[in-house]
Amino acid sequence: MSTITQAAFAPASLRILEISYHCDLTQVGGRVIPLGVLVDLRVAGLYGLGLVARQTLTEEEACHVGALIRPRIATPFAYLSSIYDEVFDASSPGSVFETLPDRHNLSLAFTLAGAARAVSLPLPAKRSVAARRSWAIDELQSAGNEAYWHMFGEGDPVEVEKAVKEQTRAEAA
Amino acid sequence: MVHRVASRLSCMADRIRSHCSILRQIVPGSMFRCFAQDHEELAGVWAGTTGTAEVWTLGAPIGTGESGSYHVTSAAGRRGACKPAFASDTTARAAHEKIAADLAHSLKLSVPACCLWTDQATGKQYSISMWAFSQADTWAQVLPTLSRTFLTNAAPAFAAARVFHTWIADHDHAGHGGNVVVDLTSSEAKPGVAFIDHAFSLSRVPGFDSHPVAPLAIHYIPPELESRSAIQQMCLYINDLEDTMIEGIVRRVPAEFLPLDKADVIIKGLLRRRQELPRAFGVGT
Repeated sequence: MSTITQAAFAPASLRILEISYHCDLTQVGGRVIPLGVLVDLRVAGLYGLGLVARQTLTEEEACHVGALIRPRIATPFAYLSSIYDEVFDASSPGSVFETLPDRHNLSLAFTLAGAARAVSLPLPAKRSVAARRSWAIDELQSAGNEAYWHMFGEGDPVEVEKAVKEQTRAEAA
Repeated sequence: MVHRVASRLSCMADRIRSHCSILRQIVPGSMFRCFAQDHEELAGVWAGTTGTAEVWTLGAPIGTGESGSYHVTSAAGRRGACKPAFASDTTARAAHEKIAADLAHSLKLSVPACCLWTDQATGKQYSISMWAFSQADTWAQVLPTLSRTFLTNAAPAFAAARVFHTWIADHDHAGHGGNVVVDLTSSEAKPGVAFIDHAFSLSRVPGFDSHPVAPLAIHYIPPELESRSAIQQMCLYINDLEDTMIEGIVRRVPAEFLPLDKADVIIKGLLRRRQELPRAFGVGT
């Protein structure tokens, strides 16, 4: 029975979008301000979405952001939460997630960080829906936080207070 | 009968040209165009030729690659967006982008500069367009945040563009929110908008050289804000272009980018269609 349970579950698929703001599209080496990451995970009728993003930009960073968008980008988590909600509340959230790099590929850019990653489920996650939800949240948190911290380079601020949110929902097979 | 019609058209053309010369003295040349100085310097160079003297390197697809566009960078660190010369339906995408950009440069309309490029590494052909602004987002994404003042002050540029896109039969600009970009460093007092993606126009449009001109509908901004004076000005600007300039812009595109029969259609269509613009937009007879 344990073998049949294990065989029924394909690995989860996890994708990460890095979100950044490009201050000069016209030149190589233009300043890029890291904002956060959006992570989604799909497994066996379950969809999970996570957002890890900065609470605020520094004043110095905000000065480099165009006036038309500065009020929104200055508080990245609050701004990106609206996009998070749009994805999570969609009838096909995974499909909406996939459209983000094409919709946002100018100064505000959503960039896929590598290919989708296959993640094997532990046995409890295969045997229990509740355990699977809990495991999915852990995976979103872990992958999201790791990707978030790796966005920051030499020229970026050191103190980058973040906010997070993760949710799961049933998804039609 | 034919002779009388031709004579009337000739007189009308003379009156339009005369009117236009007067307008040119009054209307600022940059009224509909809002690029930074360094962009305009390069645009001036690219508008005078078809190719590029810079060495470029093809990069990653833009977004997921669905648009078929790629990032491209020059040896001097300049970034652009490039598209393959031909679409899967044989549309001469690169040639159309180049012709539209050069015509728009002559008309002082905000279309980013464009050149034609052959990647020496692969022999493949592309158009390269400059990024319009250092910081930008699409109209579709920005519109919910724009003030009425912004829309009002941007209205002349949109009106002029509506005439231009009607002239070149670019139906892709009939409200496509991804084909207009907004300068995020601009303000509601001096808004910056630019029009991109003109691949599906000109020779791609059946009957471009023969069908009557029907104006594109008003999109992007509320109809009550449309600037009728900008409509009239752009109709006059377009009809003031010398025939030889229009022909030259099209003919200098190499045949490997634009087959000769398509070039013929484009020239014939541009010269015929512009005469119908004033009537089509209700600003002349």
